[in-house]
Amino acid sequence: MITILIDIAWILAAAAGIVALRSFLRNPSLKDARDMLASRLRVRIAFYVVCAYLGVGLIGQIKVPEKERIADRSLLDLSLQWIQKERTYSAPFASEVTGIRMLEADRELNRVKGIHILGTDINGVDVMHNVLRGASTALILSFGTALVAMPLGVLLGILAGWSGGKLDDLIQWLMSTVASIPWLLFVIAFLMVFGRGLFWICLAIGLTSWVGTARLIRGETLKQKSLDYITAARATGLSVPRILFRHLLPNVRYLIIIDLTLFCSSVILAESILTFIGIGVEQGTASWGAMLIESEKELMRSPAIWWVFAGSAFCGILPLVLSLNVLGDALRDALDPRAVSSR
Amino acid sequence: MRAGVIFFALFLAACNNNPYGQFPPGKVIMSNLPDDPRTLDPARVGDTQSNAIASNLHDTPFEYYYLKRPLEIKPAMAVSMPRTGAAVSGGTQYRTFEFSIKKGMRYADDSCFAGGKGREIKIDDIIFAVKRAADNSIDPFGLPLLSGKVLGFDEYTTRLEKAHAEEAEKRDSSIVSKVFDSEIPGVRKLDDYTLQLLLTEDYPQIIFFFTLTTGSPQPRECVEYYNGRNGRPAYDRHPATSGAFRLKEWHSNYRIVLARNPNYRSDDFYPREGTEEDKANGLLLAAGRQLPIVDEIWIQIIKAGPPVWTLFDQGYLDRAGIPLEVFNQVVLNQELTPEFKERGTRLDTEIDQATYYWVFNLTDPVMKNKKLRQALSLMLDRREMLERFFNGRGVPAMSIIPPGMEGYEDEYKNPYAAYDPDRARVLLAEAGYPGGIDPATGRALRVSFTLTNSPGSTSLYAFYRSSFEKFNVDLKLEEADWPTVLQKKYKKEFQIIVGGWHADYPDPQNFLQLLYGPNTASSYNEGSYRNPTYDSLYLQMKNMPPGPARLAIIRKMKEIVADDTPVIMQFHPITYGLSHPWFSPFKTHPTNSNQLKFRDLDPEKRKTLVAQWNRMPLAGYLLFAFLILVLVLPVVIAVRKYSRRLR
Amino acid sequence: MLTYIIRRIIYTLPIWIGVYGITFALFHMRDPIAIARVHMPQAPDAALKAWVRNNNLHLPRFVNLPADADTVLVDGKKHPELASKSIFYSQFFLGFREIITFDFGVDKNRQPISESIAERAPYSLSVMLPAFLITVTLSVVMSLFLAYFRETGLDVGAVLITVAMMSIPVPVYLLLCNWGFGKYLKLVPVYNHVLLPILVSVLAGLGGQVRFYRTVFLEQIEQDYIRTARAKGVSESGILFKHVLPNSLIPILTSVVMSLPFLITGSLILEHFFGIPGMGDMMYTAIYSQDFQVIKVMVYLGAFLYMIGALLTDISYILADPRVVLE
Repeated sequence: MITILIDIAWILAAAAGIVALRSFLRNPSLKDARDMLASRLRVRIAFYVVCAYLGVGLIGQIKVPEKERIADRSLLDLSLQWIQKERTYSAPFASEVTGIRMLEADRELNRVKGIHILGTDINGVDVMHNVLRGASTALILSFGTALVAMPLGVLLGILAGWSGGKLDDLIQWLMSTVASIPWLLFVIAFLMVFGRGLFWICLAIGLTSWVGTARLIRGETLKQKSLDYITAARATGLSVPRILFRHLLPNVRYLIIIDLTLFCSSVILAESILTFIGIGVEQGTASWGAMLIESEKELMRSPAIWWVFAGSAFCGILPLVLSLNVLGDALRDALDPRAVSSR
Repeated sequence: MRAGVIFFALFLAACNNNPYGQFPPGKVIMSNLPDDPRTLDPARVGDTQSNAIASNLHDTPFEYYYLKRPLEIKPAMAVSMPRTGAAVSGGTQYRTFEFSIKKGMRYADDSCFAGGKGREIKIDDIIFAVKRAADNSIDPFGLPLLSGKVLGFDEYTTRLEKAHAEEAEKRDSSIVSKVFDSEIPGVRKLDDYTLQLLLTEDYPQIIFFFTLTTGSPQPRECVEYYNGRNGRPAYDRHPATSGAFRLKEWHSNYRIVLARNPNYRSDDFYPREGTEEDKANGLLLAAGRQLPIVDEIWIQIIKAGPPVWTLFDQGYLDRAGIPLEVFNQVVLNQELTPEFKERGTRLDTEIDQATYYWVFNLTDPVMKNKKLRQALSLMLDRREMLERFFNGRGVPAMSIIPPGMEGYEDEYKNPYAAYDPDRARVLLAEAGYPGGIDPATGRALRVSFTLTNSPGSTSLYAFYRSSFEKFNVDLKLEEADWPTVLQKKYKKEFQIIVGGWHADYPDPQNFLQLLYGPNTASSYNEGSYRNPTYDSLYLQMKNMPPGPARLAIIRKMKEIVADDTPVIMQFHPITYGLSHPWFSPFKTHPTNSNQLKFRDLDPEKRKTLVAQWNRMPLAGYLLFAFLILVLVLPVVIAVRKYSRRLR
Repeated sequence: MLTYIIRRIIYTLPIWIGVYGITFALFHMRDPIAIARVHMPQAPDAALKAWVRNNNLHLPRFVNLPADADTVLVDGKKHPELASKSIFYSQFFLGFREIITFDFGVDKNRQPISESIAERAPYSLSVMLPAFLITVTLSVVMSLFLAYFRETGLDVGAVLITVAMMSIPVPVYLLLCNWGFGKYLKLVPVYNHVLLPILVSVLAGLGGQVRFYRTVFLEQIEQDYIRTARAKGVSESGILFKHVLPNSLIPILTSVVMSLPFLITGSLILEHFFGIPGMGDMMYTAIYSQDFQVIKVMVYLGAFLYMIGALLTDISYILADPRVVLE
């Protein structure tokens, strides 16, 4: 029952996100920006890549409850269930398994029954499948963390920039305090007190990474505060919350979008570090960081088993993070009038 | 730019992948441990790693013949083998156990001794070792070996406990000291070099106490000097040593260095006799040489597995195990592959006297169900597990007694220590969980399995889960670090938990005690297994000498355990070790590890071979050429092209 | 100038208190039994309570009231000895005293943490310092180079490469370099040696640093005074070294001086993987043995170093740009 509700929540959230994005992009005042973005090939590629990962991540998240199974399978798993499970490691497109004693008696058992673009891992599971599963973990992690950090950062940034004086000082004090604690140490401490798991990781990283956004938004708010349209709104007698959310917020929205893109890329990198240390996602959750830590031993072999490493690093993390970074830069060029062009 | 190229070339030329910079002079063994030893205090050493070092630092009254198999004890510090007899004390007759130690043996020099020079070892020090074994506050390893066996030992233990409590309350540091001043009735000093123990029962295994590190002499003044206060290290980290080696350096998390002990007794020589096989294996090459042979032993603390293999492969460690990942590259059909044979590597295999098993908590309401336990034990495909995750380096265990010990029989088959999916399903249904469904919840039966936190074992743990998932049993893995696992065992808070045992001494009683009912209170019988028939058989066999009568009893005990299935038998590990050609041949010992004094090595050969093995392959030069091309060339072109433009 | 410095120091005090507040909230506000349960999920009550007592989490949180000596505390026992202690014998004030006196206590093996830090810091430094110097030098040089050649194909390619380098996580660099330079090329020792961690550190940081400095320099180049200089006939390289570089000092200094204090904390992953027994390795071990005290100390240390870094940065501004003091 709960899984179905979570699935519905996911679909609704995704739909809402898409609608918001479309309305933002259709906005006529952004025509120039859109043209600039669309004209550059690498931006288009980056955009499609991110969308592809988002799509895979989403279907990897939607769980289908089955009574006879212990672990629910996702739509992704169901759509890929035609991929054969081998006995153990096998290289991409190989015909035989590798990495264990090749006894004559096991000849039939050792034959690779399917085609695996990235080979298989020690339990015979297709590596590409694992990479795609990792996308959904990356997705939840990014969204979850953004859900904590973004609202916090934006809210406090606007409040600080708008109010000035004591409230501004207070919020700045809070920002300096949180910023001075190294994020990794804070996350480790947090997870030790509250426990492991995606939920706590999102909370931990979120609570420590909102400062950058807040500072950014605060700076922008300060600038916007003195502009005519705000003075006009005030003169009209609108209440403060209304001014903030109806007039100010839309004008800092572009910053939020740029920040969000770059934020997601750094969260994915952070996850790989955390899992590599061993305090990241729980055992059994598919994630690119988990694949990396397994590859440490695999690379030691001779011949080295490189495909799990290559898969997670260069088919999982690199394309997504690179695309997010490229998109973020491009968005900044297109939307932020003051930015130094990185062209 | 030109300067950069020159610097880089110099860098390449100086490149040397030796982590020590250069090998130290003399005969120095390079070895490693996965972690700092927890303690080197002989009374406290309990785990294999600490013992690997500690047993070479501390001499014992008795030890094993290096080469003789089956194992035979010989005197080391003692003058001769112990004398047994009888004596009367306080109207009761006791069995006696008596030996004398040699005169003139000295400890290694240390500032805890008067004048900084190691003093002569007297029997008082061995008596002090026995007294320390009674001190519960230091968690002594030897306590169970003496408890209930030596007259007055248990009362002494209680007196010490009370003294510690009193001392903490009154903050008077002399109370415990006074108890140490007093004597244990069953521990008699006949003269400065002779000890006599009064035993309350027939206990041939008492001699084992004096072959283990816990039985080595401990100087009281040093134990009191190194108390961890006033800038002095604790005795754990700086014990007084009497063995072939002394502790030269200990940098935590980095390196431990043992050096030859100049005060070691000079009557210890490499054996001259051995079997024909020993001779063929090169084990008599050092015959007659004075021990220890090497000058120093360097022990690097290497916490992760992969670097150990890489360093060994490159020649910077003299000996290593074979990690799972490279096994097939090294060993083929129980022999070295040609690649390694060429390098002169030596392979030694030994079935450990150890058993790994999973313990059922028999106080848990679910685990009380015998049929369920039998079913679960039948669900694990041990052969596949050994093949996939351990390179086949294990013998599936049929009983708790490992090979090499009396009671181990090759042909014995435990009907429940196998993989039998059909029977498993039948038993599961009979146990009350048809199809794996727990009638109480309507879903798959959930069983929790507590094991150690091991990030590198993701796939193995996935295998465990999927093995039981096939039968619709949900094996929930509760990972925790080792101290927490120990805690859970102690508090009996688990359903299934990992367990295992390495032999302390070569007698099956050491293993059978793990299932003895009354041992539930101690840390031996972790699952709280209690079968009265087994218990009475145990009491019968434990003091019997080895022979057909004892074997018959052990057989009966094995049947009882097989049927009751208090543990899921896993396997007896087989240790495969590799050594380099410059490292002398050696014989491994199943329980003791004080054989570093017999090792020898050829440093010149090592230097030559290591230099040979660590030359950069041709591909490296190509790679650098390629890198320079790819990185430098475009820059040069761009510079040429555009410097005109911007000038 | 002295007043400036003193003012800056005073400004950091509230932050220090804030850091203590956050750390306290993190470690001490949650129900101690719940925290114990995180470590020992299925332990019985008695074990949980013993854990609470061993970590001193049973003491009153903020103030030690007379009533506390008579009540049954979280660990299920009464602690009459509390009556003899002052009102400040509480988790809050004890912890406060700890950080003020830098008395860090002992870790799980009963070794004083301050000793461990003193022992290990030099090892961390031996990796971080060279890595830092190399990264800064290389990045500044390369960014100046790119600024010189801006808007050429080289620049565009470089931008793409740096972004790609930034998108590769540290563990990937680590595994690649370890395998490539260590195992395959046998150029550098794979363990207990600083060469590899330095290399990985430099590679991992280069992408981001080059981009950062490039942006800083380009921002300066677009300024009017540069155009004036060019009009006056100053050569391009002259512009870079005499005008752009000095005026970019503030952002450069911020980046450089802020990272100085962290040179002793070392990187967890690199130290553990390459066998450098530094502070990062201490942290790694603490995670595995669930050593609260060590982690608490490291959090304080990190924050403390950050504040020192900020202070030093502010002071360095004065040297770089005298106008700062007059603000």
